[in-house]
Amino acid sequence: MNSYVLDVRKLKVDYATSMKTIQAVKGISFSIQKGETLGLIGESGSGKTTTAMAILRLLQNPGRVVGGEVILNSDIDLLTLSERELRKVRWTELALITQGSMNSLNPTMRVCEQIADGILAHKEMNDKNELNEYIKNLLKLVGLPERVFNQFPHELSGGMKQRVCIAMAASLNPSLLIADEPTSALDVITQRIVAQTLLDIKERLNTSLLIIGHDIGLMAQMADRVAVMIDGFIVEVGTMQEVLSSPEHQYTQILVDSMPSIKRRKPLTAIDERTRSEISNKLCVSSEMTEVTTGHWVAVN
Amino acid sequence: MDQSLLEVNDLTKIFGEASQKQKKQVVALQHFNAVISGTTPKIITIAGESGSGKSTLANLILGFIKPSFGTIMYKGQDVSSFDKGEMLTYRREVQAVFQDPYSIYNPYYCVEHIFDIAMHNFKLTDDKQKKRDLIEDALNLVGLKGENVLRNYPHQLSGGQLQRVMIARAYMLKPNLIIADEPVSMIDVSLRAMILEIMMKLKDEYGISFIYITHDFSTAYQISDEIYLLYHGMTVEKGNTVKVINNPHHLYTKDLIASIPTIDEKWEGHIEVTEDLESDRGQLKPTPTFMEVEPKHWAVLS
Repeated sequence: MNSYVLDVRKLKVDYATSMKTIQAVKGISFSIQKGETLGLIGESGSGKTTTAMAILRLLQNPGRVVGGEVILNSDIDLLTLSERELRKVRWTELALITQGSMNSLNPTMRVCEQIADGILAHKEMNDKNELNEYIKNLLKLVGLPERVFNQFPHELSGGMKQRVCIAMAASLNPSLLIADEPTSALDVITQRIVAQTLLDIKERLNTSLLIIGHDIGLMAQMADRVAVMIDGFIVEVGTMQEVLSSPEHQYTQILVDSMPSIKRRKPLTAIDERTRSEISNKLCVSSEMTEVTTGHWVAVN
Repeated sequence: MDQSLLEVNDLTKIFGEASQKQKKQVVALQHFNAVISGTTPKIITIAGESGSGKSTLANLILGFIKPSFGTIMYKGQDVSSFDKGEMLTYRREVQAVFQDPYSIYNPYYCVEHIFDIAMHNFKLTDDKQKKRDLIEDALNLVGLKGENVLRNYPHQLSGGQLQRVMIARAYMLKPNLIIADEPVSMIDVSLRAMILEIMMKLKDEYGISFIYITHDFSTAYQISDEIYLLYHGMTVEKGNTVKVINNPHHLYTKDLIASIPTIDEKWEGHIEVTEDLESDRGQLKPTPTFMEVEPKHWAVLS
């Protein structure tokens, strides 16, 4: 038996208002092993962020988990924890980095104070020197110069702030890092540096990484395995390489074909509304997945 | 001789100039030169990272801001010397499509409003039937039908649809040039191709040139003929798009192109963190000298 860091089973999330109910996530299952990077890819409205928020129990009203299980480290079902138990797990076991993380830094606090704040909320550390050393080490880990320790957020560039957030997320050595579009507001070079930092941290701490995004190119650089989402369903799961080289589901094929290359010019495919609703209708009838090759699962085409 | 459609000479924009003494000045764009042919329509990419001056260039060409020095010549005439009538013609013949299709529409009006304003401002026609035909024709070109979009409110349409409506509006005015400032960066990947295809079609079949402003090199590689790479307001490399991207010469360009996440190959090794030197943005530099790396490919020595 494999031991999973995260095992999501038949997760369902609804956004219910008095007017109507929207099913944002329609019974998806996936798992992440220790030290693995799973990419969750999908376009706007596919439910990828909702999935992340459900796992972290951060869904905002009217969002609600209506079914399924989210098992952490093979024994804790995150969905059944009380607020108090949840608090113990957050940051120490689960950490989040979002696209806007860098803008969530408190502008009136120095970087060292912010990181310390997060650490002290979850762990006792009375020796001030020890704490400072620890924070300096974290900053070194994400490749930031030592002067950042005493600086304010406005003195840092976007990429540096994002790396401060990565340092915070990694500060208590969580078993799973969830990164929701961690680099999409950044420039190309900065994006690469932040992506490298994330992978380095993951490698060194031997944590697992769930990375959410819409850029297949970036996913191809970062993820070991990938899950493709559309309309609240997962249509294909497999190793990055295999999904890219032989996409089985129609939607995955379109996604791969719509990705421009810088090696050769090729005709790009676009998805029209009719094809999209056809795919989605078929999934509503049956979203059963079959295994085409070992570990490569595809929903009915 | 082939008359140029648009010719930009030594275009420079400095923000926060001399008058406000304690304020830091920022040279947003300097010594920018480019020519767009009047006979062969082309898609010209202006690429660079945030703060490189690419949107400043768009705003200058569209006349939203005035250059500190340098000139913009349209069909051989200086844009700053235009009288009201000439300016109106210029405004009609040089159209723009912007990044965010959601914020461009007034949420209180149906989508049709955006065509009505254009009709009214540029006095295209007063005849109701003709109006309807013009709109329908433009919408069909971008793969939409009037009955499906015109009476809808902006929030009822997707980003891709809204952006296509913007292109239809621009096309309806029969422009010679469209400035497309990051037109696809907020559009989902699977719809991006459709917008790019429309741009190609407008160029090939309707003779409309584009200035395509983007930070996305892979789409630029797909559709554009020429590329200008900006770094801190300076052009560092320019020429045929395929040549520049396949064989980058300037150090910055090399780093940039090596960092593009593609599905073709993995990133090689690590790139070093370069400290951002904001301080040198305040200084105007001498006009750069370009070296011809290969035919139709120039780079500033770095």
